[in-house]
Amino acid sequence: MARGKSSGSGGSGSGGGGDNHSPRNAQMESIRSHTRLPTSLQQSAPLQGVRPPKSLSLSSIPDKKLRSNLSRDALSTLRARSHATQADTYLYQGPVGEEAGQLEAEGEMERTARLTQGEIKDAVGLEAASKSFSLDLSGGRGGVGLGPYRSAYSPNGRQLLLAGRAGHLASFDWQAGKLNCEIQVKETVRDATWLHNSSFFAAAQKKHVFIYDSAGAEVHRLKEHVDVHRLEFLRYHFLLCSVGGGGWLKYHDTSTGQMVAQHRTKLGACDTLAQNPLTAVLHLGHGNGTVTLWTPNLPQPALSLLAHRGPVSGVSVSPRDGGREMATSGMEGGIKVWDCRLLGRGPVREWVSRKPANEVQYSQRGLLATAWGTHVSIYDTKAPLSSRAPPGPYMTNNFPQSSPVSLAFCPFEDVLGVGHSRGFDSLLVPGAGEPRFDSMELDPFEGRTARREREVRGLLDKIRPDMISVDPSFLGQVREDATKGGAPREEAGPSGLARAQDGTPYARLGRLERLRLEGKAANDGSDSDEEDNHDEDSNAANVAIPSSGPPPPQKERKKARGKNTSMKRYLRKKRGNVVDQASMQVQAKLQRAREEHEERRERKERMARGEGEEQREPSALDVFAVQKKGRRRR
Amino acid sequence: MKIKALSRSLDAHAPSSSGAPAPQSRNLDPAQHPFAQAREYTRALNAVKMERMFAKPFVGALEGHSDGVYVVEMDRTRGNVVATGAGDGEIRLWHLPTRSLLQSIPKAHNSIIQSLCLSPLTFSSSSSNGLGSRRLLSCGTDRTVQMWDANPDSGRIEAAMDDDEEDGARDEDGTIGWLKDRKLKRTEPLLTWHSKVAFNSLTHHASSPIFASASTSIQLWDLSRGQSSSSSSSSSSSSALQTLRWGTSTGSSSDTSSINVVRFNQSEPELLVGLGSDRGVNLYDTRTGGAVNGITMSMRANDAAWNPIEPSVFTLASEDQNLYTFDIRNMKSATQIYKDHVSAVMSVAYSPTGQDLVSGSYDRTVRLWSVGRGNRSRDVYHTSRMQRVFSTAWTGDARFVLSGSDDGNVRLWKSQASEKLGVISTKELKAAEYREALKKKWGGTATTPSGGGVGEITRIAKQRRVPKAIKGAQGLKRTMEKAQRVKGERRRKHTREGERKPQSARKKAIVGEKK
Repeated sequence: MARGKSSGSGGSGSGGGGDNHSPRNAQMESIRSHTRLPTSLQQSAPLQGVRPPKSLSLSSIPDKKLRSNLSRDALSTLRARSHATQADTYLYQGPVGEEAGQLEAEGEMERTARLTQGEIKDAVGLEAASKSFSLDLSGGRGGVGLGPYRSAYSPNGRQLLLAGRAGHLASFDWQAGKLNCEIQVKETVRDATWLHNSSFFAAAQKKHVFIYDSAGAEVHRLKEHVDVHRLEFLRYHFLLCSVGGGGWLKYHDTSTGQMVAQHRTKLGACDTLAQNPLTAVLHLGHGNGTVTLWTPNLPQPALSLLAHRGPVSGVSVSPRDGGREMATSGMEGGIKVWDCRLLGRGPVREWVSRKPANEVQYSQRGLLATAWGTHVSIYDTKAPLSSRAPPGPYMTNNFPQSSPVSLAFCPFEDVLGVGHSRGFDSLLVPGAGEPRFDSMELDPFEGRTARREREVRGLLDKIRPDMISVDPSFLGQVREDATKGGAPREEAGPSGLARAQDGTPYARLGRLERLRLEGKAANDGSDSDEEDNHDEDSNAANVAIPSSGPPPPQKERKKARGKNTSMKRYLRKKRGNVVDQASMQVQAKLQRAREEHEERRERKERMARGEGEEQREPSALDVFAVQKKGRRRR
Repeated sequence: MKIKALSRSLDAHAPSSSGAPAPQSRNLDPAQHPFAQAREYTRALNAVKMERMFAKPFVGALEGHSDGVYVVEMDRTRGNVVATGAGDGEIRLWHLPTRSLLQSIPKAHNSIIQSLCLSPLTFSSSSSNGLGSRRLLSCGTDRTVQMWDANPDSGRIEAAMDDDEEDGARDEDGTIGWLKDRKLKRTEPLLTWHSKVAFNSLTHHASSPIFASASTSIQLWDLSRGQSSSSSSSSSSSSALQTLRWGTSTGSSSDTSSINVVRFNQSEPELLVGLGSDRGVNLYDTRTGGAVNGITMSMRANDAAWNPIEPSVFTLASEDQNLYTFDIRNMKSATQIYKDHVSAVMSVAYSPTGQDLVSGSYDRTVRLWSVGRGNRSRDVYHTSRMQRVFSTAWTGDARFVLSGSDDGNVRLWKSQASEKLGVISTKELKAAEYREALKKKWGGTATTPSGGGVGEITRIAKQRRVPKAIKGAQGLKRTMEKAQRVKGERRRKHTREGERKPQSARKKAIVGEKK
């Protein structure tokens, strides 16, 4: 840059001498952008006008080296991000003609939901049209069907697995129409799922879970899983998760055969299970209307949410937007879309379907499919809402004389697989699938060698189960307590341990003082009224997040303090997210007692200040105040 | 109504012919790469575990000395020849790629070999006198410096190797057969220099035919003006060119003590560092003929090495178990302390890249350090049979380290313990580079106690098994240091404010400055 400038001024010969605002320099500026190195060659060059983030977490790090390392990392992240965006835009566009599908109404009078599969098949090409088909597995007229059917697509979308309730298991390459295996297990099959690739699948049968290979041979019987209703496979963690009649959520590592975690949900039989594809957190829907979020390392739910007034019949998490959007359906007929960051505020959107939905399912690009009655409706939850009216469906399809029970979007295709009592239907849903796949992650066109390679790499990169967390971005972040509150550099000793306030090193402290420094023992005078605070934010009462901060939960002491302690304890023991008649009554009673106490205290204070009750002029409006209080009491 | 469904053609995604690579499709959208961070962390964890699993640093031993090896000196110009000197006065030259003996000079001196020095200069060689083009200088406590023909040239090495392979015949003393006929000739020094006092150390000028010796003073000698062994007359002149003393005045107080080590700076060739038994570290300039700068340390230094990349920087191996790096422009304070040894450090050497250090210690370990990252050593090498390590050296390619120890063996180590030797395919090299990058990203480079790494990575990378004796000594050292610290704190607490300030460790070791 500097060279360009000097040669420019030398060539001009005007001798205009270093004026930065001269028109010649402006000319230089205009040229410079075109003579710059291509961005692809500037990997190490600093980005123009980009500075490391001035977040508090970085600037408060006392260690100079660490701080500069982190800020350099932050800069290189920014740089890599901008390069990746450009590469993605200009370099990695898919082949021509492989753009995402779409369905767009062209007039006021057109409704996309009115299109039938036949019309769509007529409008699209032959290759795409062949993906819409119907399998009649009802056994013909007078025959006995083996349904209802559940279906699952393999991670790359090539293989389809069908599981009939009456024991019919079939897997095939659905695009090539090639059958891999078809077996009859002669007992109830409640659910089936693929494992890490299409060489194994698991089926939840009458009593246990079985694993079959691609040829249909039984490989394992998982006898730890009893009476399983739903299966889910976390493919980056190699965890097979099951939940069923007993309400036990079990995590089974399929690479080592170890049972990783078994959680008792204590909420009864459960047949709604979904995984967050971006965080591997499991979402369970329960009979009492709550949705709970589970990770293997927490014995209680990471979060529980009272989502519906009826039993929860379907849960799904969108793979878009960092896995924030969750949809639930309840047997009372409601369908709700939640923002997982703001669950306490209630659903982002909710509407009532004409019949209660059996299942909800998100597609790769965020379309939401719901199965209700004999219908499947697909919604675009991102479509702008003009009014408070419920969003019209994006598409809808009817299955006469059969009720759809399972929905599965095919990855990387505009296809929705619907399993119902009379068989299986493959629907074309334009705009559902991701048009560009990444061969490094998943490849629908992979051969045998690539599949094997991917399997080995997947096993090498297997993520440990205890790294599953509600917020997956904790990894690689600067720990806040290490930079701020904990121990500043001056106070920490050479071994990095905290010091007491008078500067005594950690090593020479007593046990109690050490515990206090580590936050394991209570500081004096810290018995705050936590439970009162907890009661007050009743707005978020239907969301309960167990605190996981540095001060661990202290054991509750039985302290006789004032009246109604037993009621408080009752409420505490009772889960905050379970709403029943008894606890609501107790809550109301407590609230009343608190108000009365407050009132009495205020009156006392007023008396102490010398302004008696009679100081206030009696007003005609007092009658309303009394009435208001009375109403609250009721 | 606009209707368009995604359709894929096999032409775009299937390989063009059988055996052709499958076309790759990429999508950098983060939604297509779930758990990218977690998977990368797992890969980094695997990389660091693999590094520890494949950490097999020992390459081989050069066996044959019948006494402890006190000097190991690499030939700077050839890069694959090393000279070793033992306690019984034997000098050996070794060929490193084959780990075989080139030449042995038994009883080169009547005493322990104090120092060896391979001249970087090329000497005239002809078949008539039967001499090679390299020269080796040695000194001992027998008050002589001797010059030897340091080897057959490269053609003859190859011949030797062929010979070796053919019959594999070696004499009982380890010399290869073809050397036998000139054995007598080779075990006689070419030139000799005499002095009244014992020589402690030798060092060769970077380019001129001059070498320096350390005894009670530092003396410079002309390489061509020694006494020839053939001419029996001992009266031929072999006096020193120059004698460097503190302050140029003769008969100063520093004469009473001796100088243990002297080292020429190879980039600033007129500069010398001398380590005295009076705990002094002095810098001499041959142009002024005296010392230019000097400090006194709290304990004496056993060895010194100049950084080949930064001419103003040298590192001392100190008796107080630490290594100190100094910049000659400011000797009031060390620029870096390397502390991990649990006994006196006997030798130190810089890698040719100037990025790494190796040190040998009386605690029977060899430690490797990254320059500028003090505090903890990068790696520690030990074997159950290795005794006190008195000398260390780097090979010219900076990939290997040599250590000579009391047990009479010279050991060859890899400088990166888990490096794979031999031919490496591009794929393997790429994978190794990726692993390195992962370790750098997730392992942290900060010197903070936690290491700045994520999760277990730092702990696994740092984990080293050391012999029980060293483990015990480390514990003891830690206790003693803590006690010192506590004592200092208590003292400060009971003295007047500001009277006794804590002194930085980099200055504490320096007792005084001469100027």
